[in-house]
Amino acid sequence: MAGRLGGLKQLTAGYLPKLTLASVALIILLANLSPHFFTLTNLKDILLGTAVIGIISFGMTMVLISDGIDLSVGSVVAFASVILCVSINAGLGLPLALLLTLTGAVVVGLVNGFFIAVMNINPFIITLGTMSVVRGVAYIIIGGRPLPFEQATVRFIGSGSFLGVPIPIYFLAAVLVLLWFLLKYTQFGRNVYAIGNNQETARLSGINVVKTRILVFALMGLLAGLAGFLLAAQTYAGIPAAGQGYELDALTAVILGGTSLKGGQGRLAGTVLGTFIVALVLNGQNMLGIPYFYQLVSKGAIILVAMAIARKRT
Amino acid sequence: METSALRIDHVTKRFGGVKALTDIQLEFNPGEITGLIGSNGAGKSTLLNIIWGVFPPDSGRLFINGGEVRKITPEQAQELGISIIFQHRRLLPYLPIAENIFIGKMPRKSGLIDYRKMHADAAQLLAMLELNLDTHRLVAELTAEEKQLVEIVKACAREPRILLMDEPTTALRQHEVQTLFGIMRSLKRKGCSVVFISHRLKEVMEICDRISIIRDGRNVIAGPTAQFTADSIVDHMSGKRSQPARGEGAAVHVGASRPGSASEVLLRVKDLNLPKVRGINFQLHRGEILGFAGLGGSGIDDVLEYLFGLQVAESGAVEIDGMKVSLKHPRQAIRHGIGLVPEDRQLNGEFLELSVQDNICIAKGQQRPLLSTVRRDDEHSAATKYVAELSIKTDSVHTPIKNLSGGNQQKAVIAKWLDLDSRIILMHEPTAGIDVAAKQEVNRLIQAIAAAGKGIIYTSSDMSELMDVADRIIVIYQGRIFKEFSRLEFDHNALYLAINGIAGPQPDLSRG
Repeated sequence: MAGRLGGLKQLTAGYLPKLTLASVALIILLANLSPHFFTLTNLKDILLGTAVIGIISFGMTMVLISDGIDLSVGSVVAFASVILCVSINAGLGLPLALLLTLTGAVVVGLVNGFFIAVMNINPFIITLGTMSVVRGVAYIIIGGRPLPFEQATVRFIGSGSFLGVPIPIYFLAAVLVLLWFLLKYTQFGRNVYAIGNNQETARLSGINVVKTRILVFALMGLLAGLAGFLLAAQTYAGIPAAGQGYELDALTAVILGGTSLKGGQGRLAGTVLGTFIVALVLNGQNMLGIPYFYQLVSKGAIILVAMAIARKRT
Repeated sequence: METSALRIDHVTKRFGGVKALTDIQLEFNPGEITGLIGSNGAGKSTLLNIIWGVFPPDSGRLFINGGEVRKITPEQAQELGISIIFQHRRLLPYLPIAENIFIGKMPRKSGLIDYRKMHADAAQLLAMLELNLDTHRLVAELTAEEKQLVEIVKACAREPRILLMDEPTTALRQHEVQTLFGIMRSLKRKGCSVVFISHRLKEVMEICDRISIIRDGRNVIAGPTAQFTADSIVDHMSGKRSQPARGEGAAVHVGASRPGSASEVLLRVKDLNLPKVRGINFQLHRGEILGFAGLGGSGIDDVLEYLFGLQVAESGAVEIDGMKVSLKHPRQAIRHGIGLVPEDRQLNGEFLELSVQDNICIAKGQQRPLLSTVRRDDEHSAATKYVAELSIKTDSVHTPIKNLSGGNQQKAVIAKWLDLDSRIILMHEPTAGIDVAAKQEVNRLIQAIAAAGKGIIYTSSDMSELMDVADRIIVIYQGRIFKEFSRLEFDHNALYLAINGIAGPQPDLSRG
């Protein structure tokens, strides 16, 4: 008996198992509170709702592990949706429009990377700056209001399904697999951990710190651009106000998932759980009819609690 | 009899089983400058920490101005008129000079800080040191010398009755040292007791009225400066009369039998000029451990930094295996087969949270494209091999390196360059901060690596250790090569005089 209890204790000793237990408890709680929770439509909704923010959160995990931060992601989402909308409305084909969209997003990432890695300036301040610049550019391009567009393939990507699973979920899964592979199995991934752990030792060990960090921010830009493309596909519009507060949502999921703000530590599996829990909390509140303003409070509260837990863990 | 300003009476201090101080007795008189001298590990820092109230002595008493003080705290020490200039600076970088000088005792007018008076007073004190600095400037903007001078001004601003200075001249240039001496003399005239701790014998002889020498935490001798010569001071410090300290703890020395140690030149540095280094020429042979000796600020750090691509040369050339190479950044140095074991292991040498395997294998991995996959199996076997060969004590190669002891961490840092097959390894104080037993193990390892045909540049501030490990020692004094010792000429006292820029007695070659 004691042995079995000990085994259970060991199983839940790490942070991730505890987080898994927490999400299971949350599911049970929500299922009891609302009869609509355990319906297929609702579960699909939850997943679909995490697609855009999940892609950003996965990228943000990598950025935090490298001891960086990217606050410009929400603006890049808007910027990307605007580029896509304008390109399609200008009569460009989808491949070219998509290329322009992602290129625009990567350029923002490269600008971030240049200031942060080459000029060696604090990423918080730099991306706070580009966050405002990029948002402004999105408004300048398209004006104050969302602009609709129509494109059959984009519409299918945004709201179609394959084998009963919404298309955006495939994007989310693909990004997860790609990043997991990069972080776990490539030289780049290990350098990201090393740089986040000790940048000076990394430099003195022959790691190309500048190149690696630029790549991190460029990749983050690319992923935010992809998220913006998906958001536009779901809404059939270029929305200059889209993605506001996404940086906070992503950080909440990442920190809740156990990634350290000090860099050098973190796992995508944690972020998957973190994203899932945040989505559950928000979905639960929607179902229970709790107004949006309270949801803002609860999102912030999750960050505070997650940080307090992280503090206790170290 | 005149009351001494500070008297240390039969003080003993142990750390675990190690006696840092044994029955120390010291007296520092008002209106006198006393030089406190001892080798590394003689107990000077322990003494300072006891006087400053960082920790209490195990036994013995402390008298300040004739009165016994018990359980002193740093605040009380300050109130009693003690000021200490520590080796590691304690200025606040983002406060202006004036506020740093007067921190904790800023002048006030009707309860509020009187900034005008503070800046005026600060300017006056700086002028005393012939320092022309705007007192509104931030300390972070100052050069190393200026920071050191501000530290001195800060100590003087407290109008101390007892001023203890731990190696205050390390960062200073010649004329600044003279200015400092001027200040010390004027403090002395005001009745202050000044304690000058330094390895720089010339300066000690010039400025001090009395000299107290300690060795291994015990009193050796004290007396008026006139009673000493540089030679006799060094004799007292080492406890030997100019005899080679060779063989001390170096049961196995493979230097003489190393393959080709005298023939093949691996590294040649020609007429190297750096901002703080002039005309350096030397060669490193395959299988050789070349020791560098010098005081802090002598320029050794600069030469090593240059060789690893961290400092730009004004002029000069480097050849490796007869080929001229350029060393503009660390990656270039690494490509040319140079590795660095840095002085501060934790800060610059290791990834504390990463595994032993990652710490060992990460440098080699950089030779492959960024997006190639890591060869975990190869790395696992490489790391396992080094853990066994260097007897790195760890549960597994996957253990975070921070869980290892200091000596084992250092072995892993060294293994990084073996894994990369670096031909030249720069070992900058590789045994700093690790315990005595581990020191020996690391030094044996370094000798074995040299025996395998690598070239090693080795530094240590402990002269005995340096003589144990090195095959040849180059002494750098004020940015220039002062002297070179071959193994036959090794002599602790002569070496110590040489790092002080004193040629010293010729060692007796017939003894070797």
